[in-house]
Amino acid sequence: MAGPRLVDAHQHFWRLERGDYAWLTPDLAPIYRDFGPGDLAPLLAQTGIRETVLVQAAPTVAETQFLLDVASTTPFVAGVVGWAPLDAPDAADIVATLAQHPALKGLRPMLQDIHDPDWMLRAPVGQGLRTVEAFGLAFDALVRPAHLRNLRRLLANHPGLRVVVDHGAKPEIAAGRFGPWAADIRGLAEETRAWVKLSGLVTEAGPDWSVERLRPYVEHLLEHFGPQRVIFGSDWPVVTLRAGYAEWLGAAETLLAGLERETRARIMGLNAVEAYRL
Amino acid sequence: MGSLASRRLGRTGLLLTELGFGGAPLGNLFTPVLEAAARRAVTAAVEAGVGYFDTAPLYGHGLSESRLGEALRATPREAFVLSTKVGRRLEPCDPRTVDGGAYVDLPPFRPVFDYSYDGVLRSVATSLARLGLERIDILFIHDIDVFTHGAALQPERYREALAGAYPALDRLRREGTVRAIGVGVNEWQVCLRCAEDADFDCFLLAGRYSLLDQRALDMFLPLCARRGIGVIIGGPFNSGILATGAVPGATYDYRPAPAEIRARTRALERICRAHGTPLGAAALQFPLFHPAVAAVIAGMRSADEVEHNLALLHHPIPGGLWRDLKAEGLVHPGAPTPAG
Repeated sequence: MAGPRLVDAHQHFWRLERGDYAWLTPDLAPIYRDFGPGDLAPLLAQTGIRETVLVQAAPTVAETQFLLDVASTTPFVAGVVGWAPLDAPDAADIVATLAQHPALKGLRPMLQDIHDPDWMLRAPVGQGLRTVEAFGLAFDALVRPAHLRNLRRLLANHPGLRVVVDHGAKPEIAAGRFGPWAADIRGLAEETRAWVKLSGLVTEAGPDWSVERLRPYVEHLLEHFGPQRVIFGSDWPVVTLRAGYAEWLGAAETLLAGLERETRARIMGLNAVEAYRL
Repeated sequence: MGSLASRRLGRTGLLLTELGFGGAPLGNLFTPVLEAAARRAVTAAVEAGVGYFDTAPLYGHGLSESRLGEALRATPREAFVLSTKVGRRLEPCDPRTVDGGAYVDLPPFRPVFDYSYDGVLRSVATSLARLGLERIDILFIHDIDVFTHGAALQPERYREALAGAYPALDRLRREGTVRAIGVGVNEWQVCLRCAEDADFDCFLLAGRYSLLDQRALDMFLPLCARRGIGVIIGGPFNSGILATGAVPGATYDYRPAPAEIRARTRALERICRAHGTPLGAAALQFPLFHPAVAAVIAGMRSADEVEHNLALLHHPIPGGLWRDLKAEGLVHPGAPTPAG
């Protein structure tokens, strides 16, 4: 393969008739329709990205099976981040079954939708995460700023777990709430070996997003996680609520323009390969 | 804990966090501040959720503005509200003749009162250059009070400010360059006149609504509440004594505290102690109970002081404290305080 590996480490597919996407409602009109490989392939061709990580969008094992089936027939999907009930008594059996599929690279409980912010600190969840680690899978943390303190506590107990924090932990860019997020991100970056995804930020910045509004957040992630632990992702098709696929990629490239070429290549692919063992 | 509550500043669209960062100490007020400590203080405030920062060209002859701007540059501009002031221009001078008053170790400038239209526009431009930030949100006309100029000179300064500085700020407000304009002073009497003579959005009143002085309650604060003029209270510790208690060397309004103030402070301390409340917690929280008050700002010179002020702001205070302070005649009976 010529050139460095270019990976989109965060994209989704869904088929509405499957019926387990609780968050996906008609008021999200532009993305309230089916999205499959045929929709993404031309965008990849246009931007030169050759591989993706397909991420779960429903809290069901059935959806993960659906995504693994899609991955089996879609050459550009290099890995799947699925879902398993980590706090269930039979979590280990479920994870073991899913992990037999070679495309499964990680698991993602939808932490942001769980009402109890202390859920992740419950003992069965800790047990479930040890299973995730034992099967060589990564843990995707879909969190908001309010979860970051607990996430730090959780990860202190799982030093060997490979963790990827989705969407920069969703800073409240539109509201301008920078400081507490910035403090907790710094703490997380210093205390753990987690990676963080450079994705989802235009969604948090709102309709009048701009590269300059994103810049302080991106620079903060780069400063504290360092370019070895920042991973580019599109969050397509959610991103299209605010920006086109190529538009966000262009914004990310602008935001990273001050870095060395090798460093940029890490963020645009190599880091994802390492974090997910693609 | 974590996030600080925000309040709207009068009728402006600006939201201020209840606790604002007072920038005077960053200008080497009383003692020098190391560059790194200044930067850490600002970063700690940002990380704690403080979203309002106040400075002035006078504070360290530009030092406070340049240090604050430098430290805030990595913070998204939407994440904070910034105010500075006009009314003095900084003229280069012989380093041997620098006189900073309460400020020490200063760059070689001499502040010269200048409330003229052109002088004010130039002052804003140089403030922006020192700050290095894309905009200022609030501009205050600084120190047009008797406290600063004396009874003989103040009327003339006031006329200059209303004829020169005010139209300049009003223009910046109409053009959308700034969001709000006001007056930053150490006495409320001049604010009453300002409210009559011009259209100000807000007043920054230092030291005149505190545990040691509540005369603003009779006319000033009710007027602001009625007119929708936002009030920011500075100097909640009256420059020191309400933070330190009546210790040797304690300051009141930037000078050694007189005996009568020391005696009242000791009485405040005694009642606070009886209610398990640090004097500083009562001093910092007291102004915020008034509905006209949008924020209280306290000077902070280090990350430790930021942390300390946040602890004081969040310290639970039993309602009985306020009841006892009023019963002993230490706090105005009409001051809004939580029920005890």
